[in-house]
Amino acid sequence: MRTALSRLTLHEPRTLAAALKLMRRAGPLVPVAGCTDVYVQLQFGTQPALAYVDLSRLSPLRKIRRQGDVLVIGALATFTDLICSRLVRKSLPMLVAASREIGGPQIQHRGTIGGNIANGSPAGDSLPVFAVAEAVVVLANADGERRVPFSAFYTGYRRSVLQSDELIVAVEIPAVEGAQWFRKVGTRAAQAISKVVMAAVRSPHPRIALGSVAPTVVRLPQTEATLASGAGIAEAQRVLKEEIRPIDDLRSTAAYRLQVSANLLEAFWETTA
Amino acid sequence: MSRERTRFVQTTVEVEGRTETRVVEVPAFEPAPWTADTPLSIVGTSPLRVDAFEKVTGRARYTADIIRPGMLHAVIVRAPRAKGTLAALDLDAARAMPGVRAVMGPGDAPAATRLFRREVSYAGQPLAAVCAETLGTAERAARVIAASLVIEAAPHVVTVDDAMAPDAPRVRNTGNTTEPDIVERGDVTRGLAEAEVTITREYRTQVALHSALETHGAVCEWNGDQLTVWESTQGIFRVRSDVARALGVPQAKVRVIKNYMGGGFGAKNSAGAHTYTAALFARTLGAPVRCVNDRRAEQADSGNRPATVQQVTVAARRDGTLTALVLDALIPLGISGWEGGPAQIFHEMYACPNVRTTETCVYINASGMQAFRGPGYVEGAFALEGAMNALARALQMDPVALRLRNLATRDERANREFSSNRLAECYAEGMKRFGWHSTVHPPPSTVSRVKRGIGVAAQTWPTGGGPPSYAHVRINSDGSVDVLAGTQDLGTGSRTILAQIAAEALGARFETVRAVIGDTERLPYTGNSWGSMTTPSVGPAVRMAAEDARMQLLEAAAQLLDLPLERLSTRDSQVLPDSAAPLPFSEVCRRLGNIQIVGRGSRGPNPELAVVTVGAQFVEVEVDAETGVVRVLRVVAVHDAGRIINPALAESQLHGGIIQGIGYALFEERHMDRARGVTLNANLHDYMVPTMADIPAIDASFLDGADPAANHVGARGIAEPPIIPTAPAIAAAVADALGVEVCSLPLTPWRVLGALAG
Repeated sequence: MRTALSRLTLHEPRTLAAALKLMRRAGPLVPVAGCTDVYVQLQFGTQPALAYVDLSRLSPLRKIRRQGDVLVIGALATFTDLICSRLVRKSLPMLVAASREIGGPQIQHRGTIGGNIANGSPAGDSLPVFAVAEAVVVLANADGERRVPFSAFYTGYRRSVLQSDELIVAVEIPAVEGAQWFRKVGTRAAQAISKVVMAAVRSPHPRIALGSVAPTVVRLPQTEATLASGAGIAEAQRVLKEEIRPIDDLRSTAAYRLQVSANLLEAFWETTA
Repeated sequence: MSRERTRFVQTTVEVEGRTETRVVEVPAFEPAPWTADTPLSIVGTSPLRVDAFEKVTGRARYTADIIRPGMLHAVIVRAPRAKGTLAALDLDAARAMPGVRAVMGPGDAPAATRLFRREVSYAGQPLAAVCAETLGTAERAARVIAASLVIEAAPHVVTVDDAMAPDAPRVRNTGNTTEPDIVERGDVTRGLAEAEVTITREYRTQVALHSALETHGAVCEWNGDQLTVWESTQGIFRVRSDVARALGVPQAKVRVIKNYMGGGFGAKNSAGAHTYTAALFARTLGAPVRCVNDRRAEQADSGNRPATVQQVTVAARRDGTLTALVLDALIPLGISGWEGGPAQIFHEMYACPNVRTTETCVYINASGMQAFRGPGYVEGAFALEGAMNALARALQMDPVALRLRNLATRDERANREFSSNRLAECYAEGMKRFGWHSTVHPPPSTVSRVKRGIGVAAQTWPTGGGPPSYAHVRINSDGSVDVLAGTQDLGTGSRTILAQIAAEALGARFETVRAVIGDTERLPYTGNSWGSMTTPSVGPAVRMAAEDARMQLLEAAAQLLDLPLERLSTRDSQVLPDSAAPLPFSEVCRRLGNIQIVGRGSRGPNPELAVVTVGAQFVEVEVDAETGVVRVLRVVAVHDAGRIINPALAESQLHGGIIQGIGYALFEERHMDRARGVTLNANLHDYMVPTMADIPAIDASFLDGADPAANHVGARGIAEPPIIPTAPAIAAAVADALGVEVCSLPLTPWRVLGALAG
């Protein structure tokens, strides 16, 4: 579609196959679904692309289902879909907690899980959940699918292994053993970018992931190992402060992020004891 | 023809804390004041605001909605850096773009507009402008011009500390600071010596942005030598005189129209770069031109509440009696601004015999300040009320008791009585509503993560309004009524309030009265809607005009009915003879035919009294000691503004002020890049105003009563007062929760956590 008013081109495929064909032949295209990130980028002048592909008609990609022990979330599932899903509430409550904290209701209605992953913001609220859940990202191109562990998906600040002809089609989440914990710290109660966001799982091998403290969402293997070894929380906090190197920016200071990360670790450890 | 009475006298009017002496006309008559006991049936009620349906259904046309046939779009190109000289720019490439109709750069605008200068003194300064057939084309052309700018950079300063450094680059040729403005009463040295307890603190407040939902904008259209300006403004007559002066045309040739407005908060008091740009392009091109700020321009260069650094000393006896108040303040205004600093509230709020304030304004290479809701008093209250709360803690005294002990009983600053000041009642009512003495909050402990605290702060603010303000009330031949006044509604509900006052004074049904405002060509003069002045300034003029119209109607009816005037009265749009059947206004007017009844009213001189709106706010907060995040749980606000014309609208003003105060206290802060001198968060994504989820339960109320000594309507202003005490009350509650004070705004999580860590 091209209008007299806009210089932007928008493709509107009706099937995944058609979308993947477009991605290969008409690219490079920026995929859009809820547009909650792309609209902001366009408004700020940080999105130079002129050609887009609208995925919102590919309704099969919105499904949330169980496949054996694995929870499969379609890339087009919105945060509201996640909040309302019995499957997600039962097996991945920390993702429901994260979804409730994203933007406000309007963003939750439109924003999709695939978009949150593709956008790759270090402050993406759902990303620490996928990191500790050891999710697998399902990517597709016109030739077929491939599966990438979430831990290997990002290669740097807003960079990932996603190829220009690929779309994120789903996230697969194996069963998570142990108590799940999630906390987002933002300035205001809604429409706030995280200052620090943490997801964690309490098990014999605790898993901890942080957002907004590094160029990508990060797992904390040393802190996890310290906790697994039976060392006290104070020791784990000390290790955590060595393990991350947050920065000063508009939203907060490095010292604040370091301290709050350590405080959240203690809160996680106390509330899941 | 001889004149027996004096037609003009001097009077003083306080605008935004500044006192002006004016020569004003004495009205032909002054109606007897509506006192607290006067039975009123329309004033004091809350009819639906008259423009509610238009606004809710989207039919209300704001300035940005004005579309004229053949209208073109202008975009301003702004400086990308804070200081230097514009060495080169290429306007030709933009001019050659399809759809571009004209461009302007240095030298192309009259000097009086101060547009497109080569000397760059802040980032965001207009350097050029482009006019095109569509907004998109204009924006693209503006980017082409922006890419061609060559600026020979010079060193800049954007922080107060940098500007005050010994080898700081000069912001203005006259230097970076103004002469200190010292105001003293009593003997501060003696007051300090007499003190048994002294509190000294440094308070810092941030730059806050008005962030009105409707940005600054204008649509200009020339018809021959007549210019029509649709402008989003707080002062249509001020815009008219600004434009006439800048363009060198008579005021009579300029018409300014403003129908609906999405907020001003003090930033829209004059014509601006957008107005002149639209007017100049429209004249050159012979077509209507629209120039409306985008959000980035709005946040980067449309005014701000300047930051302050305030050194405060409060000194008192052990019983809490103040012996001295001392303020030494630095105010980085930006590149320009007026000296509406934090000092004045130090002189007015408390009955302290010894007060000294020193204000030094500092120029920095940043967009200039503009008045912002309660200018100066908001910043001053954060320091003064913060120090008073610190004093209460030091004395282990209830902070309300401390305030009552030092209650101002007269205006010590200007040495005059108050028309009325019921602040003590505001405290009493607020304490009752809040449960001040029964609110249980756990003492600070290291165990529980979430801590609660309560706090209080108060305000005063000059709200007397004053002349000149004129109004006409016209009774149409069907008995319906037009109120004509050249004021404007910023969203506060002026239309509704003026119609209520006119209906009350006339004895007309409210539904039959329409207020027509916002047009310089058709309406009598009133001043800017600033300084919480519109109701106490225009209200009395409207009442007088309505009383005049009523008298004319009654005199005509007396002739028609052959009854003496004193046997007639009015109610519900009817003339009521004491002994005959009521005669509807419509019937009187029908019988009069085309005899037009026009009542004229003007605002009389002010009394020799201090007219202030006062109030107290009580706040409960929750502080997460793990993250430093502060949530406001509830606010109780009790203010006294004299007579409340429309309680629902007045309560909305309190809500708006408190919400804006919460933003100022917790979230809002302009961030500038020190190295490049640009605003980093010139958007509503990173400049954070409160969302609905941040707004607590607000219990906002007014004392019943009226202030007939202030003016004959008995009303004072209410728009600015409610923002003044909110931030210091929140800060007090945070200090109560944590046991440590945070003396810098906003109370961001990192500041709060930093204070906790010591």
